[in-house]
Amino acid sequence: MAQPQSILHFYIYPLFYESGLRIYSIGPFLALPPDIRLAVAEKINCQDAVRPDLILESQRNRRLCILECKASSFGPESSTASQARSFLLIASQILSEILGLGTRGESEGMVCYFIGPDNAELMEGTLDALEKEIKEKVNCESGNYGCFKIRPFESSIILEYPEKIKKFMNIIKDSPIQITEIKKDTDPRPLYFIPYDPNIQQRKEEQEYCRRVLFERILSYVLSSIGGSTISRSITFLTDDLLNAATFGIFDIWEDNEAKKHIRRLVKDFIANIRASINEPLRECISYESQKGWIINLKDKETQDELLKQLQKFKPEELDLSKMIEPTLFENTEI
Amino acid sequence: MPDIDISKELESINSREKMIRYFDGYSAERMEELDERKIKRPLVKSYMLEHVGDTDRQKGITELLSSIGKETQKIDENMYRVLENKEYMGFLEVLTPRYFVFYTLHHSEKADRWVRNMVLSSPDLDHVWLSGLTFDVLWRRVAQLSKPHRYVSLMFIHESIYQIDSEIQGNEDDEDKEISLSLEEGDLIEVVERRASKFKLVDKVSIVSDKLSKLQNLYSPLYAISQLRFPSPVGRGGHDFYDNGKVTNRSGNFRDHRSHILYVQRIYDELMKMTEERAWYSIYKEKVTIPGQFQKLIGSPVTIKFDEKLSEATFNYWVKSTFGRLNNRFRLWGNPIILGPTKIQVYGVDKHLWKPIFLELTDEHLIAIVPKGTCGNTIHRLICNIQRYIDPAAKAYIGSEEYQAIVDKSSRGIKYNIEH
Repeated sequence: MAQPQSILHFYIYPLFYESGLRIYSIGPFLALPPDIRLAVAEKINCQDAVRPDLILESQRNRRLCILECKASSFGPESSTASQARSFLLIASQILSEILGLGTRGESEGMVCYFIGPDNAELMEGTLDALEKEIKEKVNCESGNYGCFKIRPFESSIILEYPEKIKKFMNIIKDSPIQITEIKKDTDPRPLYFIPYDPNIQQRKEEQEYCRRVLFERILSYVLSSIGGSTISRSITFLTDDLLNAATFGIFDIWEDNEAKKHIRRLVKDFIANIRASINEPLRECISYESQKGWIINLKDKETQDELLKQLQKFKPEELDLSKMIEPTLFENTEI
Repeated sequence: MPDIDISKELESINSREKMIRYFDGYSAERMEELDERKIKRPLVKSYMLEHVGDTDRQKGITELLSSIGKETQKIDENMYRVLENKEYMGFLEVLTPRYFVFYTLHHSEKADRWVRNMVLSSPDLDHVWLSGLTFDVLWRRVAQLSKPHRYVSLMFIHESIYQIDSEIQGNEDDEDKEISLSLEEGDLIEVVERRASKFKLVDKVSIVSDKLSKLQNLYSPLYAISQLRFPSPVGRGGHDFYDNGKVTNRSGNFRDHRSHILYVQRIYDELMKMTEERAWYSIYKEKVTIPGQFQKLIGSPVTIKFDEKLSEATFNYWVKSTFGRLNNRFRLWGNPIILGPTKIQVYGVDKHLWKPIFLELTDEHLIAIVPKGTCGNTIHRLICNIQRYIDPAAKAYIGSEEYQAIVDKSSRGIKYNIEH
């Protein structure tokens, strides 16, 4: 919805783009300033630093929308509420300082949850309660907040939002609005920019789909590198390079080291699967060295052509995409 | 005339001045022969080529061509003679580090095949692709530049090869049949029961200006302009530009021919910059004081919207022919993720240049996400192929902007300098 598309021909209605909203940041790590951390310490349960899914900025004024997607609502006592308290604090007057845009009060913020149809009212109730708690227990101000409700309706997907969100973000259309059509027997999902985030809780089928997209993208990167390479040289892939190529560089900024280890293991296993699928003796041109990563030795044109031919026949969908990957020795030894 | 003589004549040309004079005189002779309808030797043909835009990956022409078995002999800073197996094939001029032109006197059949094989052999080299949408804008420039009584020639080619009737064709080697126009040659005649339009329109500029858009509204294959003649301002005839960057000199002046190539190349270069600036997806990392790096996603999707919805059978055959074969007309690779009867997504590779490209195909549109570094040429080739084989009246958008408006903008700032 924030992507530039023609309003005459669109697949997903570019509601945010048309309203002058642009992606300010993807998954930024936002830390509460020291004075706020001291003020809230041991009084309310909140996180010192949080990572919202997205921040949108309004081109027309200095307003920012902190977006967080949740599959379901949560109550004020739940563990997720600690993250929500931090979002509410961050969306207040301190937002411009936290984002480095200036001193306090220079920007206005709003926390918006994207949530399914049966959860929006509950979610609004939770946010009301959390705002009240912040006011009463630490006498701190919360930012604006609200919920975008996504629901299917007949053969379309509808987005609903309260008037306070429309006004704050200068959204040009009244709620509700149809954002895309659902065709019979057709999955409405768009192309993914960031294919896989192990931090997001997913159903098994969803996780398999996302892993497949990640693997397809890694395979396309490997193929491109081999096909575009000159002969008589070797290509080296660090696992992190592959992951950055497949995630538009987002892998580099994930700060969840456990999640990163998990995803590295997945990719190493995937490349090992690719290698195993290559016929002997061609397989020998792919090797792994712990200090360097994956090395593909393209000694001549025949090797390059045959490798490309075999790799183009490799099908990530035929792998066990829900496989649990166990840690291996020396898994952190790539430089 | 046997080719060996052409090679010998080219061998004796050892300076730019001699080359220009020789090609100029040669063009004048051919024009006289054309007037007498007794053409004795092949016309001058030029092929506009594109090297990678990424300066880190750019190679010198000698290195680039030697990697695919071609020899170069430098005759000045930007002009080279090109040989293969000791045969002189023509001259290659380096217009910019990204754009080259290959000039030759060899027969079309031989020259077309030689250039096509050169492009197929190198992931760093591609044709300059002029889609029907681009030609439509270039045609408007022709109309502005030419006197109303001058004759213009346009060729329209559309072939709905993915309509289900074509399945009976079986084992075609699609990759060899990628867009390549050599209209001087005879065509294979086949019985087809699917839309296949190929015809040439030659008329006065004033007449075409008045009628073309009306005709296009009546019959959509007329949007698929595949060749356009720029009338020569210095005499009869002109310069025939084809959609794969081939330019045939049907005028009596080589310098004028070259100037027209430079004009179109400048427009194309501007178009390429605008395309890549808008379409390239990447994460832009912005450093701010607290707490570190912020990431913005920049770029725009490329949307090609079909004028007519494809039937499910046509859609399926298009997908099967493209992603079910290693060699296919679109030169794409990918494992389709099937999301519905007429919807797939592919995180694949453009095999022309071996660069990643992400695609969504439905019966109504094609959406392409082009990661930064994937040449803008990929987009122009995709639009060419869609107009040629899927829907001649398809509209293209880069982000919210119509592709034709971008082409129009890219041609406005370019001066039309004819050297005389």
